[in-house]
Amino acid sequence: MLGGYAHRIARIDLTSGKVEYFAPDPKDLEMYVGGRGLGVKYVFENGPQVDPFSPENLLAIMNGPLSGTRAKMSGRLAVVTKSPLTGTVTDSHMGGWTAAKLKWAGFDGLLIKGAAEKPVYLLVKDGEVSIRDASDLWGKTTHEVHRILRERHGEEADVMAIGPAGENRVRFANWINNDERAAGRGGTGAVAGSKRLKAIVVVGKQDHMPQPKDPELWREADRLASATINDPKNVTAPKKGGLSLYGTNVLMNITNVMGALPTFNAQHTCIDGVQTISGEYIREHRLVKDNTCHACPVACKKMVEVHVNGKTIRFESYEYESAWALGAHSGHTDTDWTGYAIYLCNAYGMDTIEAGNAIAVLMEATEKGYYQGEDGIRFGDKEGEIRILEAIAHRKGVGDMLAEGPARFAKAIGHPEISLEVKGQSIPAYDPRGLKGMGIAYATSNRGACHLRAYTPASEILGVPYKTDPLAWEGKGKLTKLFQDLSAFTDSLDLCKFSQFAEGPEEYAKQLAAYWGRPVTPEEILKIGERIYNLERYYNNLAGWAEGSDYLPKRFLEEPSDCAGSKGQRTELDLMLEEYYRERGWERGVVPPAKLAELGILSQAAGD
Amino acid sequence: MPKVNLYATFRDLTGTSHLEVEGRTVGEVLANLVQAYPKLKEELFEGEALAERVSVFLDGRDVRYLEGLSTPLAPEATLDLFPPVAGGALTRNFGAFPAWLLEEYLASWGGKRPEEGLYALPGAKVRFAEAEPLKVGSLSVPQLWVEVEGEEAEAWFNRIVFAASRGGG
Repeated sequence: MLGGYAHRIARIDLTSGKVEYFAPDPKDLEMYVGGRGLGVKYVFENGPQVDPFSPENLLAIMNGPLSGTRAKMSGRLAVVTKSPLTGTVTDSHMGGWTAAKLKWAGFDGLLIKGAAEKPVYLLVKDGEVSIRDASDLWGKTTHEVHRILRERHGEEADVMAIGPAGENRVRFANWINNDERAAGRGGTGAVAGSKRLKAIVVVGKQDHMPQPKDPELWREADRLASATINDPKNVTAPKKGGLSLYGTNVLMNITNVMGALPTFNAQHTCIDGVQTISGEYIREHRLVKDNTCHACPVACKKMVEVHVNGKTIRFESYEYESAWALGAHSGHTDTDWTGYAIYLCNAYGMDTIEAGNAIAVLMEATEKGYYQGEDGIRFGDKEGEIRILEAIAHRKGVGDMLAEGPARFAKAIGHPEISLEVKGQSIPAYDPRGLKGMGIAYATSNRGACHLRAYTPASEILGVPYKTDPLAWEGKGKLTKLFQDLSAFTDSLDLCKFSQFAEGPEEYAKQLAAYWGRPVTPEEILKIGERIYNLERYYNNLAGWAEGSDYLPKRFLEEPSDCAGSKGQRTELDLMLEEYYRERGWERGVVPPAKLAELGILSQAAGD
Repeated sequence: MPKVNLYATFRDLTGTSHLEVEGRTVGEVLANLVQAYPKLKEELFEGEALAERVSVFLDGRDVRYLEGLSTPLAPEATLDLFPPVAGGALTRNFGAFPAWLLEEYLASWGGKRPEEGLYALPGAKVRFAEAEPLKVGSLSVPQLWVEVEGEEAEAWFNRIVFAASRGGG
């Protein structure tokens, strides 16, 4: 029996109220590991044609074989489902302690189907799942739900909740846990809302931590992983490296100088005064505490305080993507109002990236006269931005249209070109005219535009694993495939993306081998990553995302960048796609049967 | 005055690994360097241009991605000069891949260490040295220069490239 697992998954039917338990198939564990990979496998088996908001859609809450162990940066939890935003399979991951506690409570995952008649929450404890009444929680913010349920079930309880946005099926509603970590993208919170599932409470104690099957190999694997992460010269070095000191938002000043920061809805590629929403400024002027997640020495989380209208608001975290979306992308760099907007998104349970894009699209539409409603707002209108965020969460006025996602809004007003989306999901904080690799990464991401499937800035900005020219397209297809496969694997362990700034296939393979109790080669883990990426793509092909669905917004292809660092640049998508498909062995974005057979997907899909 | 770090065969040609050289641009510093060490001329230049296979890094960034020989230099700037490779040698700078970790891999693959910064593997020699870290904004990313030469250079180089795979997010 492979080590690292609880070997127990709950199947919860919210329609009937029935809960069943099963042990995951060992073959599935070897092929898909856990977390994202195993979740995608179960969502695939549930059928790619399912309506995301129907009771038949499967919502998978998964941890991995290293969750809840002492493996560094192993605090990630995967939420996998069919996205109501994109119609693709999607996975989104949250930090904190939820994943670890789910393992300690005796589970590798929760598979949730059906829809309850009245609002409910799940209590997960001692290897059992019970369905509880949540009528008193409906309508409350995520923060209120965390407080009430932790008062009810004790401070040891970990709570992940949806907010009013999830209840109202805002297509980019998310999950927030009591450490204010988000499973942010793709609208997984809206799927929960459609099932009237308000929260999941997990009670688990560390004495149920899984032990490695090969303790001697584990000592060696942990020594290497810890030494690379803690290496005082590395960016991950606790309290020394830039990622530890400033968190994700260390990137803000850098991308602005490179002309790689989309601003004013990507009509520009930099903004004056960006310093005041940067990680360096926040550390100096707004930081309260450096918090961390389970088993993480890096502590990139930043608890901050902002001050708006005489009120002081404390929250976590002033992340790069959030600060960009609700600040620079929306045409301002106000430290406090940007922070307040982030806080509100967390309270209402909305993806800050998609929400910021919704605001930016509305601003461009208003300024160009494409939207003429009284509730339109212009770039830089900070108070208007707050009003619109509230309107989206509660589906009021133009907020009701924006709650469908900026892509649907832009199409509805007859100007789809102003929505910066791929497969219905909006871009994060990197402009592909200044970082060409992000162009191919966005276009080929299986969950829509995303920086976390293949983080090419690692190479283009940081020289990891080797430096490439951010303005050159050559080689970016190959790089993107490597990053996509590596991330699909680490998302299945489930480790934080920051671990990749220190660890590689050798370190990951050793840790998994020590827990599994059988040899694992570095080549095998990349093959697993490739299998997961291809299964996701196959799902999307069957769900209607076929040939020609790897595209970029016209703005990046036709309108040149206007800022120093990338001035005059456009994104050469076709050239990169050609290289990428060659590396993947795909035919214009479609996985051919031979590739499915090579990776062992086809025989499984056929039920062999 | 700008600092210049020399690696591998450049050290043999000059007898030193660190220098300070006058100049306000990369081109001026390299011209002054050649004046002091004429043997470097055919190694560094092809006509008036920087030789294609020479790698010149300014504070960790390849000057080809900056302004080439015209790249301006501050007095405190540091240049790293890596030699042109020949005879099947392969070279690359790896980020976030510490020298001690590479040494652990090389030893586990059966490598012998005749001297610091050098490992002998079956059919290949691996030279490595810590280069100047790549500094971008408030981030400093360590860089490791690696060169592999010999009959089996390509296979060993690919193995190192694979082991050094990293990503991020």
